[in-house]
Amino acid sequence: MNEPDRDRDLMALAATGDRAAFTELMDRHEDMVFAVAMRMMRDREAAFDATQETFLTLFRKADRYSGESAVSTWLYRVATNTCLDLLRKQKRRRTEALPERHDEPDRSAGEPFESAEIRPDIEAALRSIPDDFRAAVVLSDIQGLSIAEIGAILGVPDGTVKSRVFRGRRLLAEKLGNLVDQPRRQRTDDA
Amino acid sequence: MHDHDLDLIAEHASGLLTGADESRATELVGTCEACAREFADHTRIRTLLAAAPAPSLSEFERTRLRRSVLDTVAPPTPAVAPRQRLFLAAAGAVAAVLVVVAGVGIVGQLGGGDDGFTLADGGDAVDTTASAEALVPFDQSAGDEAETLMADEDAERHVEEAADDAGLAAAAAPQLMVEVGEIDGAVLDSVLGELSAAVMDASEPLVVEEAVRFGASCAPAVEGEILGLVLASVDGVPTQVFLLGDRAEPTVLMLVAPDCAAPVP
Repeated sequence: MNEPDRDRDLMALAATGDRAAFTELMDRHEDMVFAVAMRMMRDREAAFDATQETFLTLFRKADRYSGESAVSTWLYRVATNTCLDLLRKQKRRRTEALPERHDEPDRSAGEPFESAEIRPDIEAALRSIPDDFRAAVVLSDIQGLSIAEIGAILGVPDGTVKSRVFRGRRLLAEKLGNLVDQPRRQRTDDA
Repeated sequence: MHDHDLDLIAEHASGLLTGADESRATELVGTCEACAREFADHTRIRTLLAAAPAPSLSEFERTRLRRSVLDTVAPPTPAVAPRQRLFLAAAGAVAAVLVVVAGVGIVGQLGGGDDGFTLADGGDAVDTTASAEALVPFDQSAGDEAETLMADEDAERHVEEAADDAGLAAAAAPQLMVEVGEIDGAVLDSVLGELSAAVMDASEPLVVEEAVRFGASCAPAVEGEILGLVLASVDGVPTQVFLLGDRAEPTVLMLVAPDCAAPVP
């Protein structure tokens, strides 16, 4: 049985409350969901919360899964939307929490991820671009999904996906300008 | 160069073009400096991001995640041994990670102390310096949520029973109790390191400087308070792990007391 078929069978079992099916589904997909959440959120704890919320949503709505799209696509969609929702809530809370005359920047935004799995400058640049752009870039360039898959996940046309990915990359290139230019300057110096 | 060309170049860098469009984009990259820069930027960003290793959950996080999610959406069936059932009940319906904020006191053989711990005869000191790679800060918010879902008295009763089993005096509920289920001995140290960090409210995982694992004689005289309790099955042996310490000190001494038998080689 191929992977998508197995996922569908597990979803059908999960919809009946089968704990073993839940466990196997988590086993198959939890690292993927966490990886997306880590790139979308500001810190590891928030990524963990998003992962947890994603699976809770998935299992609570397992009976609504129609089987038309792959389970992984559905999971990506739930994970991405969960992250975007949590980010919106975080922003609202930060805005509400700021007292008048207080303009201190969000310190946590500047802190590097606790994982040393991606270079801090790249991570910081990724976090600095708009959430919608980041979601598209993460799904495209980190998760390696196609434009059509991303469109299905984000619920937008392919053209919009391309636009977000390309603009996101341009912003990243600007943020990482020094880094990008360095090899050229080095070559010039050498010459 | 127009924006339309920029998008064409971006599509080219993404490998999305074929045929005449690809030929045109290739020509633009070769003849137009801005196009070449655009192509290089997209290619470089794609390469940088694609090379980033995928982050993964630590064993501790994985256990927490599964417990919290599965116990919510698919509570375990009651077909388990009485002792296991007690563990599961104590873990609560939603989360296996519990923060029980309560005054922590040790009575009987355990007395509060600021000087760390002393240990009576019968313990073999083992260096269990935890692997920093596997350590992550503990999610206090998950514990807060769980706290509302479990009666304090259940936790206290559970801790007292575990303390009795371990030959320790009955104690008040620790600040943090975790059931991690079946793990192997190699994972235990990292779990304990993470728990110790959580207990200490540390932003970074703590290095566990010393661990004492009980041998045959299980009548320790210790000082300090029980900060945390881990319920686990280590290599198939039901195990209770007490974290004893002083919150003011950035170190934690652990006592592994699996029914007075050493579960970990």
